[in-house]
Amino acid sequence: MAETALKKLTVEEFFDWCPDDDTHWELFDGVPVAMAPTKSAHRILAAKLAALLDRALSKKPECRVETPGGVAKGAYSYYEPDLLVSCGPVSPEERITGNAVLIVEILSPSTERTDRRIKTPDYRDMPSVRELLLIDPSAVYCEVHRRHDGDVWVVEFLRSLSDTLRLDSAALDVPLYEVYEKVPLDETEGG
Amino acid sequence: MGQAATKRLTVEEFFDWCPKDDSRWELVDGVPVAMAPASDMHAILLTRLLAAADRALANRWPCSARTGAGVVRPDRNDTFLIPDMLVSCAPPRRDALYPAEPLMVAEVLSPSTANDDRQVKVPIYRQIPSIREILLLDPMRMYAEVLRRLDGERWLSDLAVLPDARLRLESIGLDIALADLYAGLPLDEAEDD
Repeated sequence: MAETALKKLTVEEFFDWCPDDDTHWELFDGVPVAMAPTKSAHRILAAKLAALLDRALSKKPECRVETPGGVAKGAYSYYEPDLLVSCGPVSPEERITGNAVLIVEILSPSTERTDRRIKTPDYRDMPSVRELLLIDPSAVYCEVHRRHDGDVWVVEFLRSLSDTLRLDSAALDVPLYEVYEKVPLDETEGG
Repeated sequence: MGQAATKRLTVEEFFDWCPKDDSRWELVDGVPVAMAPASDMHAILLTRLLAAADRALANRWPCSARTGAGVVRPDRNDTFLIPDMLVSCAPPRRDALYPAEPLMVAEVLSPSTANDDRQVKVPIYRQIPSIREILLLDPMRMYAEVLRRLDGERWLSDLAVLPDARLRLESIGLDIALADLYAGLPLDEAEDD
């Protein structure tokens, strides 16, 4: 049971350490973790969501969509959600977005557990975040987590192409058939 | 893309059809689905949960926790699910194949069932008006997700992931620290797989 004497990195140290290649890294409680390459359904869905959010945000000129996002939780964690929407002032060189109102994670079998167990509670702890979308790129399935009252969150589940994806923080209101329009879904789903 | 002409079963036909061996089956939209055998971690955690629920309900008979009990949809006759734990406060009937009025259900997740639990079973549980809370527990890491009916169709979601966080089930008065629920279990350490 030998313990490795690992030094935890702060977010600042992590940015200095981070290799300047095309790999994306996140920092989990001081430990850098490389992000897995994405698959085509994931990328198509991300692009569609970015387009839909960008169009919706014409109604909110103070807000913009970022893909991927960059957010910090405390001094030792830094995540890159697939998309985020932030509002208010923004500076071009900033690595961390401090005023995210919406965070989107596209689920995958290899990251879902971390997304749910580590990132979701941390995103909920960020005071600016009002909504959190977890969306499956292989089946029609979305969870919209909305801050209800303080740290109480209400979840809306969407499972049908005729359901409406409503994200108040981004003024988005769109049927799921539009969201999933070009996404190659698994054929094996029984439902 | 030929469709197999399968006949969908009603719950009654399913009970007649169900093999009388030790395998367990569920019925989803008229289609029987075999349940995978549970892992050892799953079995230990479920036993802990049942014990905690049984203690919490000690003075609330006929409310009782059970495992292996089934749930049917009140609005349809083609679905029969077996959650890992179910609590009902309806008086037990000697000839019943499943309890009336389930109050809360729990699923211990596993890599092979987590997706079906969330995308198939949880939506069905939410359709059952008597169910007030749905618990999802990860047996490999500390993770308890409680969906609690706020009103009609709206559900709160409580996440507990740290050792000093508490699993609270208001419907049955259960309140236990995750450190106690998971005590001694060889949990995954890494967060990145």
